[in-house]
Amino acid sequence: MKKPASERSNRNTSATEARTDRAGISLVELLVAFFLIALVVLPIMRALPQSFGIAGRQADQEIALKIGESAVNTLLAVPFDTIAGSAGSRTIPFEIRTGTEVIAANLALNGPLGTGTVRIGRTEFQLRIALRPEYSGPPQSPTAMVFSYIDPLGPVERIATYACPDLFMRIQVDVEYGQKGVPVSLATFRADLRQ
Amino acid sequence: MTMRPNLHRRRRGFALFSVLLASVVIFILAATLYFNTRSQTATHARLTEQTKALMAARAAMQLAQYKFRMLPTEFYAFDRVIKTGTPDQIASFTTGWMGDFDPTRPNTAAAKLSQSLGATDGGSYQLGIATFSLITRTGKGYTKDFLQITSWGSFNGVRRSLDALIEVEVTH
Repeated sequence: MKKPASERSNRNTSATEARTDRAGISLVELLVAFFLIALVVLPIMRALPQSFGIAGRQADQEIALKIGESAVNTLLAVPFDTIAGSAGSRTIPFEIRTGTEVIAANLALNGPLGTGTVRIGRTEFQLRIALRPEYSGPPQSPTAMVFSYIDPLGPVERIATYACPDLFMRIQVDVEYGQKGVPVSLATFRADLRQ
Repeated sequence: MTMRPNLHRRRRGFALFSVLLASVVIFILAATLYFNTRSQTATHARLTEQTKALMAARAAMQLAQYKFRMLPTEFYAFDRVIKTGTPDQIASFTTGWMGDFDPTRPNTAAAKLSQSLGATDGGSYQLGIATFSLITRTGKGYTKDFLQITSWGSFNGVRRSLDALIEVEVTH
């Protein structure tokens, strides 16, 4: 059944009013939404690069530690002559195992000093090595490494001492990376166990 | 006819609420990420300290191996006394052999190495040996001796240990 024209006109007016009302609210909501999102996103945009920068430096520092540790372990494993010999240049290969790959590098020793370079991703890690003999005889000297023991064949049990005649090498590896990264510095000792 | 305005009135704050909720969620996620990253700095500093402590423990291990290599007869005497001696003998032989690995005693080998390690980076190093014993395995017609050494190193109070079982080889 066809409705009267006045009723149809009323319905059209109401629908138009509702649409107009809704559209106005959406605009206000949109503006408020933009304001709120800006309020949230702007501090995040400022904080996130800083956060990523810290995370990147931390990752580089961890890699630098691993590289330094690998270099020290290599210098502890090579024949003692390689690190104790003061003349000539020597090249020592070593590997860094990351979670996904094995990276081969070299340590170039020249006398008691050495260098090396490892590039992982976009970061270049520079190694500096210093080998220094410490604590070797002669007895009574301040650099003598003296051990004590009880002489089992002695007439009485008393502590005797023994000054070591061999070298005790101090191995120091510094790893530098990036501009803002804190360099990693590792040091240990290696005894001359050849005898 | 009156239903639509009512429905609309009921939905009026929904979009605003959604945006507000989304903003709060984004903010919380970003804040969590930021503070998590910052808190990792302490973890990474601790990792550095642990690695330095491990390097000190390696130095102590070298010291122990070197002492055995220089004074093997004296070590076997020490080990025999530890296993069969009187309490007084055990005390004096332990002082005689293990005293070098005590970094708190002045001028011991362990104290000298600790000082040398700390001289360059300014940290507080200590290193020493916790156990130094002989293990003998008897096979058919032969015995094998092993040194069981536990060394330790610490850097700024962070301590790491290293265990080693080293076969004693007799060379002529």
